[in-house]
Amino acid sequence: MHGWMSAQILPSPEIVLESARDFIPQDLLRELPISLYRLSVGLLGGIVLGFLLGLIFGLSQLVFRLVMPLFTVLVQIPTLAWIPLLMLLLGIGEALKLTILIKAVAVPVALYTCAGVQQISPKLAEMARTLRLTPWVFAHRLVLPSLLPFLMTGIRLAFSQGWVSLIAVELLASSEGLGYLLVQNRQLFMLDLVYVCVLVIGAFGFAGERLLLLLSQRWIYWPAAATDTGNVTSMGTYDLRGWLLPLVLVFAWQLASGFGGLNSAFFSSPLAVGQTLYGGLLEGNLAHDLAASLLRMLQGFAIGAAAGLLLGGFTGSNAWADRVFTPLFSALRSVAIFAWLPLITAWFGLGESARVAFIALASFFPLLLATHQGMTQLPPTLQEVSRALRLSPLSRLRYLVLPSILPSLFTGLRIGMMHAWVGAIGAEYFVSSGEGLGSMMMRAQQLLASDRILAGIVLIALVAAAVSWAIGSIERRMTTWRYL
Amino acid sequence: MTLEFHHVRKTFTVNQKPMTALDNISLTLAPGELVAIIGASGCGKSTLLRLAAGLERAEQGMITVNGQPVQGIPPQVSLVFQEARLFPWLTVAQNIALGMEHRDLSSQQKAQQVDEYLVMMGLSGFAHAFPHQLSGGMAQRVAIARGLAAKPEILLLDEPFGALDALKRQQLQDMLVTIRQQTSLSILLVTHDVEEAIYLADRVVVMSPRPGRIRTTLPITLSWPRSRTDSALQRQRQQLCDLL
Repeated sequence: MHGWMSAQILPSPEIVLESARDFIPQDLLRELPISLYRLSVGLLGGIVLGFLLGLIFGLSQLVFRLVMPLFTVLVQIPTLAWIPLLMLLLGIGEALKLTILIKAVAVPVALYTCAGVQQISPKLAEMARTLRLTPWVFAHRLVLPSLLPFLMTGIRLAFSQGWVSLIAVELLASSEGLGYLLVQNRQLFMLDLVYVCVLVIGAFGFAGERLLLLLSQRWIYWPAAATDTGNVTSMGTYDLRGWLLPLVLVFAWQLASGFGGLNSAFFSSPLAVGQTLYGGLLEGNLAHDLAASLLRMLQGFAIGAAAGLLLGGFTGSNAWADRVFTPLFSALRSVAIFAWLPLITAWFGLGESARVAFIALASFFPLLLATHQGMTQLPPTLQEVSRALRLSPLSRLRYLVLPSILPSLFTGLRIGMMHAWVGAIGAEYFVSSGEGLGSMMMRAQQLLASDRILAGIVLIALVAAAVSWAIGSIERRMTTWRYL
Repeated sequence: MTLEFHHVRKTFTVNQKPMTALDNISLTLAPGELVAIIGASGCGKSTLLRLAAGLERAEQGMITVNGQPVQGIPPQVSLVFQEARLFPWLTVAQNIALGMEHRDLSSQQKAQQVDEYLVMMGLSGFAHAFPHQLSGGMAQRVAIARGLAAKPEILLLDEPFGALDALKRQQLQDMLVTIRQQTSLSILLVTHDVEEAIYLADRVVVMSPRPGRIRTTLPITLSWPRSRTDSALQRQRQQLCDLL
């Protein structure tokens, strides 16, 4: 009405409602079931696969030692990084979507199931032995209930990651589904309909998370240990046997490529990938792309993390702000992150600012959540002590607030930076630019240059590992009191 | 059922160093007998029970039930641990019923017997409670009920009444006496309560620590029924305290 923002960029709620009336029965009700069908098949397949894998890893020491190191390395690679290679191998049909989705779901389910099996109380297992329970009763009365809390945490994580991955892959390569609807309406610049899609994606994400939370609360009616320990893979011991499987696989892969068993356009040999990596990093084009992606990631992260910290600190320390903003933020957070991309490109154009804005948004939510959580969980006893000591606001911050929120802050930093990195690659997929690993991989996919795609995957994984290692070691240095 | 230990030796590795937990243990638990084992902590009392339950294997010597060497978990033996070890996701009734897995009972018979154990343990009304809703003493009583529910011929009790208040402890001790009158259950009871040992046992075995050895055995000559205030009991109590 007042017109200081064009109706095309930010349509009024009235217009959105108006267009929704035709859009929902005609387009949405046609595309939504397709996405939901993919989601349910992917979830089911991923949960079954992940559960079986997790059981095997958890029950067999040998398999754990042989496979877990490789598995841990592979899952460091963000799901998104596999998309160009899988597009090359599987095309852009249903197989691509289901593979991505099942991978995104199976990994957290497998890791949490494995951790769940490993933490079965030895005392209860011994009790079960003295009761000479039959294998069936043992599984049904001891194993399943013990790992249920872990399994449910894994499934909740898997749902969120699966929903995000599905929207991403539908945005990128699809002629059906919610993601496709987003792209189509964005291209027609019908932003009012894009808003409706974003709302629906958010609503389903929110509903799914709520439903799973409700189910866990209903099924887990006994006091169970917290399962939200960020690092669930650190259990058990690794040894040299962990190198065996990767070496055998790489060797077999090289042999298969050498004998022509693998088409080099779709899956080039490890040697070729090594050469591409070495040459590209030395001569500059890969180094250039890597630097561009890293710079972009850091810019977006700096903005998003700062905003998340400030708002998280604010809502965490001010009860009034908490009541006003936190529900809004948690609603926005349940929108699968890639669903924002069409809107961001509409607001910021198809250039660098859109990419950075998207990365900032991706890293904003983890930091907001972590800071908010840290602030609301300040130990009440120490708060009382600092009041009794009449600490100045500055010393309160220095001696109470900062040290208490550091652990959750670092969790937020690690997740936020991971999201920023995945966001950078994703932004480069969708908003193509000359430079950056994501754009390079998309170009390589069109040119059938699988050596460069694989080189890109290796670099993405290395950066992800380096980021998590760096933040982990800073955290250990800064919170030494936790390890004393 | 007779439980026998013949020259049993058990070593553990602690910090890469071998540590002898039990050395040259020979002990016989006759059918229907109650033997109490008493001694300082760390003298291997619990290990003795774990060996009899088949949870550990001895390096030397032999453990037999009715002359048969113990292999795996012997079916005639029930072990009640020091901690209740209830399954947190099962109700009290389900936890007790878990002890009846190997008995050929219809679900109706099971439910009826579970009810009987609940009454016996003073837990009626708690059938559908979960372990986290129970006090430590109540949880321990459920564990004892689960141990009895298997209808064992040898019951191994590892400081079963330690977590209870004095009154409940006396009630459960009396319950144990009643069970012994009605059945031919043999009981090996680990305790650190001198009075409990004298009040319940036919013999008290005194152990010494590092390495765990049997120092002496004291037969309790008191007749049944016993009274805690009896002067004869107090005399034997003094006798035992002098040995410790």
